[in-house]
Amino acid sequence: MRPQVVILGAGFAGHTAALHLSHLVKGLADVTVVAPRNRFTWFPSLIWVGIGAMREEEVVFSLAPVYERLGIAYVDGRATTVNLDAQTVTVQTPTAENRAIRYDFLLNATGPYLNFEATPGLGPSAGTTASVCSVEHAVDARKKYLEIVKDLKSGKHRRLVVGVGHATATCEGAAFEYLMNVDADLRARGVRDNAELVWLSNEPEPGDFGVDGIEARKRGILVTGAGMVRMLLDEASVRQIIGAGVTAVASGEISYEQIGEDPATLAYDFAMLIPQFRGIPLQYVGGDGTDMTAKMTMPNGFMRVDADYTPKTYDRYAGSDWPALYRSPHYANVYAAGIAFAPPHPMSKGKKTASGMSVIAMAPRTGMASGIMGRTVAYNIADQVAGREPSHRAPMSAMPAACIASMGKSIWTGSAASIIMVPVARDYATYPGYGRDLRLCDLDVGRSGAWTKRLLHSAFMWKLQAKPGWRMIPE
Amino acid sequence: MGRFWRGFLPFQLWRFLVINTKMYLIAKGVIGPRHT
Repeated sequence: MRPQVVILGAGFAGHTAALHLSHLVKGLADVTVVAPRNRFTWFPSLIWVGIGAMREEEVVFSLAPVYERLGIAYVDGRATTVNLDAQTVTVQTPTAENRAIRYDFLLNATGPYLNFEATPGLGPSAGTTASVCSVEHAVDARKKYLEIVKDLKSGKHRRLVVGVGHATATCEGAAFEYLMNVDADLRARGVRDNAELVWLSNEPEPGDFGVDGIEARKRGILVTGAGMVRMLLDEASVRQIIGAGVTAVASGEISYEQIGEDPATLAYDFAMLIPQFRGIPLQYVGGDGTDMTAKMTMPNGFMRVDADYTPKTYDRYAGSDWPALYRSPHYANVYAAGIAFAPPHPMSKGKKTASGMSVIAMAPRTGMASGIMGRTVAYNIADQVAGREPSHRAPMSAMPAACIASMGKSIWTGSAASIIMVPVARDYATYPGYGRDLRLCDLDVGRSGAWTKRLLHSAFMWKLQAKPGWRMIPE
Repeated sequence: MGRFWRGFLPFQLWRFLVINTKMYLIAKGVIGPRHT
């Protein structure tokens, strides 16, 4: 019987790994993807769905036909338990049946659990704030947003709050994009003067984005993401509440603590707040049924891999802390990639509020980073299938990231911030000074960014459906 | 960068080419650190 490779999750990391494995282990191993809903979502464009600038059908495609064409087995369901010694995964199917799937190699790419419960009253299910973290949430956000637009058109004044809904949330970049798209959309509709926009973020300073900020050298001058984002927020007349951790949300009111300030509340008419992320609830057991979840995961539920998890303060963070293989230190045939792996620590500097609450923008794992991790794991599993030791390494301290932060979808009037970071996690040992290669880092704002964002949407929807030439498009 | 340059089409076309070429070469590992 051929080795069985099982991938849990079909987001950027899992789906990319599946695409690469379909040819790397062709004829040598069988590949199975377990993911719910038979759907791939292009998350970077959900911000447009959330303001009604893009239909939800344009950001998703069905996985099953793609996998059928590539010879990958697809199981519609959610993994609930991994038996590490028996090498089986228990999967709950849509009909609530439990099915056991055997594996020789396992990739956990299950993405985040959207932990709205960490902030009392937060989220669409509480009927308070909106989110753009899933297609359903983005559609709900659009409905709420368009109601507010109606009010603004009738001459009413409304306050819209955008940002993150927990002191240790991540994905501030996506929230920033949503904010700037709301600004552009309201201007295009001629109702911006009736709206007050508020940026509510846990970042230590604007433009941190959970990656400890961004710098680039332009014609010999150092430019910073902080300077750029402050300028953009000021130009858009956005009120800024920075270094804030939301503690509770009630209908029409957000409670938060802010660094150096007394606890405060903020009234809102519409709010889009990204929740804290946790690992997907997945139980790990040994052959005798012993629960090994605590050994396999960090307290935040993300899976431990080959990182250095020694607790450290910000000034002792090192590039070598970051995992390279994305493999479990306990089981050589189990990997985790994308949001599912546990970062060794944040990249940004955390601070405490007067009450002692830690406010830290956690490390994001964006589409590009997750895709690179997925590809790396695919190559490492292919090494092991061939009887070799894993030889492919991609730590976030040697990994580039390109982010295009949209500020309006239109290719005629839209704009975006184009950001290139090399590497994502600062590595002062390799790049003394800033921890990054400033010759390669870039930071730019303009219409060209809007074109690039549209180009990336089309190119990646093509690539991820494994259409002809998909391998020419890098992660 | 001033507002004029952010919308000035010839400059933006140039920046589009520069940024996308740079992103492609970095993503391919042709320039910058090797990954995978």
